Amino acid sequence: MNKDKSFEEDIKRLGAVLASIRDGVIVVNVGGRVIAANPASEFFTGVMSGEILGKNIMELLKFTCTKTDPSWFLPEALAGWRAVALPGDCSLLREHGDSLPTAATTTPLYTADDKYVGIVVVLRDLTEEAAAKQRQFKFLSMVAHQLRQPFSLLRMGLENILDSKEKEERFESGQIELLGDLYKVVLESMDVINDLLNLSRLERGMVELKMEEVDVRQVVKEVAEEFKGLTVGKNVEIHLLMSAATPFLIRADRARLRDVFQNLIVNAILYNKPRGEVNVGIARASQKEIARTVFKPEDLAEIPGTRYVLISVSDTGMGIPENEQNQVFESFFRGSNVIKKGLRGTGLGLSIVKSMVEKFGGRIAFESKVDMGTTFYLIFSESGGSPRSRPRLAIAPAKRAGEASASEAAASSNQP
Amino acid sequence: MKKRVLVIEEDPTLLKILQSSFPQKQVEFLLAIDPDEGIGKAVEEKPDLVILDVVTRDRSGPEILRAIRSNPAAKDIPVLVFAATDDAKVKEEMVKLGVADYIIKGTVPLREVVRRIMDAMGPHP
Repeated sequence: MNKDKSFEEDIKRLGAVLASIRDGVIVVNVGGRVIAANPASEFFTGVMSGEILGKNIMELLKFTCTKTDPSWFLPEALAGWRAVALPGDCSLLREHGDSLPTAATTTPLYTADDKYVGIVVVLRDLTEEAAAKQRQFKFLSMVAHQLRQPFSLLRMGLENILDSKEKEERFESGQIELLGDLYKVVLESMDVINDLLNLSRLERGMVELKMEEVDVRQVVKEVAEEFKGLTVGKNVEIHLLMSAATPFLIRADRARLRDVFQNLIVNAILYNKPRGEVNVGIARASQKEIARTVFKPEDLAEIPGTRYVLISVSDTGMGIPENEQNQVFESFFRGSNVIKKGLRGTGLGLSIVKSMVEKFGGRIAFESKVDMGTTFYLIFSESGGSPRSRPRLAIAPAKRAGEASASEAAASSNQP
Repeated sequence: MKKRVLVIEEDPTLLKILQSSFPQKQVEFLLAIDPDEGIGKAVEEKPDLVILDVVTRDRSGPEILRAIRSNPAAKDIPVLVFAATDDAKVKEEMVKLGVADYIIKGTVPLREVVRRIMDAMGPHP
């Protein structure tokens, strides 16, 4: 108890520091009562920082999200066993009914002897950021639409010539070949334009997602079946590694989830070696098991629940050079080794995949070694079945923000 | 009988491509570079089909279509929309006003464009 008191005093002494921060910072105890708040928090809560003490954080902060349900956020934060973050599609509902695009993150606080004493909630106003992003993608969409016009004419004009019966009489064979090459360039440019339009629509929230419970296993099976022809052509074998008995349900837009796997599996086939393999695995995973993969604790912060579906798509192909790996999800990224081999692509597929996976509340990461292959991992919160069990409060030694995941593995052994 | 197709499009390149893709004896193309000229020609010439481009400068596609549909002399002419935008709202609005077909530019090969224009004109001669 003494320890808690001195902790609260510590927090109070930080008042001057907190006052200088523009983000809203609210510290609450394990019961969810506010024990400190900086002046900036008034902007978010509508409550003067002098009157906020003792108020219940659950009543103070109400969120609304466009795609996901935010009701898990504060209870899971107060469970105190990990840092959590509000998904990117969420806003804060303020007193007068207006909603403010807000980023909210929480971090559990521990005393020196590992006693869980509360959480700190940080609120950041995303209005400007959201508006800037809208402007950026609106501009991109305008440019892409403008380009579509001339490229559609180029396409049809070239088709008119290449389809004509008299082309052999009018052109030399070298010229016909050149026209054919130009036609390919035009089609590739149109792929880029269409991908850009898809990306900008997705980023501007203009893609209406039909969120439903989807069996990932079923979707993967269908996509694998669809690409049988391509695997034969490329002399690559595709294996599905998943338990046959039960579905793996996640919340997603079925058609878009299909796009995600089409993209990943086509990449895995095309950037493979002859007689190579593509392995697609689907499994349930706990927090502990996910910590052993390439995901970091902050990747899980925005995903509710304790049960995850982990999907891996791995190839035995050319891999991604190490010094380029940090750009993989950036627009127009193409591996230098892929370009050298003359393989074509728009470099937008993975940006779209990432954007899509995050819209479904999931995360994507990968590991890769040149000439060995690449594995993409996707995690989603498992949905359906019995109501999600809340994690029991982790007893010490619990995980603190930034601590290595080994202690997390130990702490989360209380999972079902 | 020769079919007549009115193309409302600010860039005459589309017209040239289409002219060269149809047998001249079967299909005659008329061009209107601005929307008002297009609406006027639709009324006067009563073509078998109007091809309406949706990035015209002066008036949005739905407005031009509405003007055609609200003129008793032109309201029954089939209209094929050739759109640079894939804005679902624009499409929905135009489909409600009545279109024979709706093609997003650059997404289908010329051969298919030709076939769909033939279909939109109704029974072949």
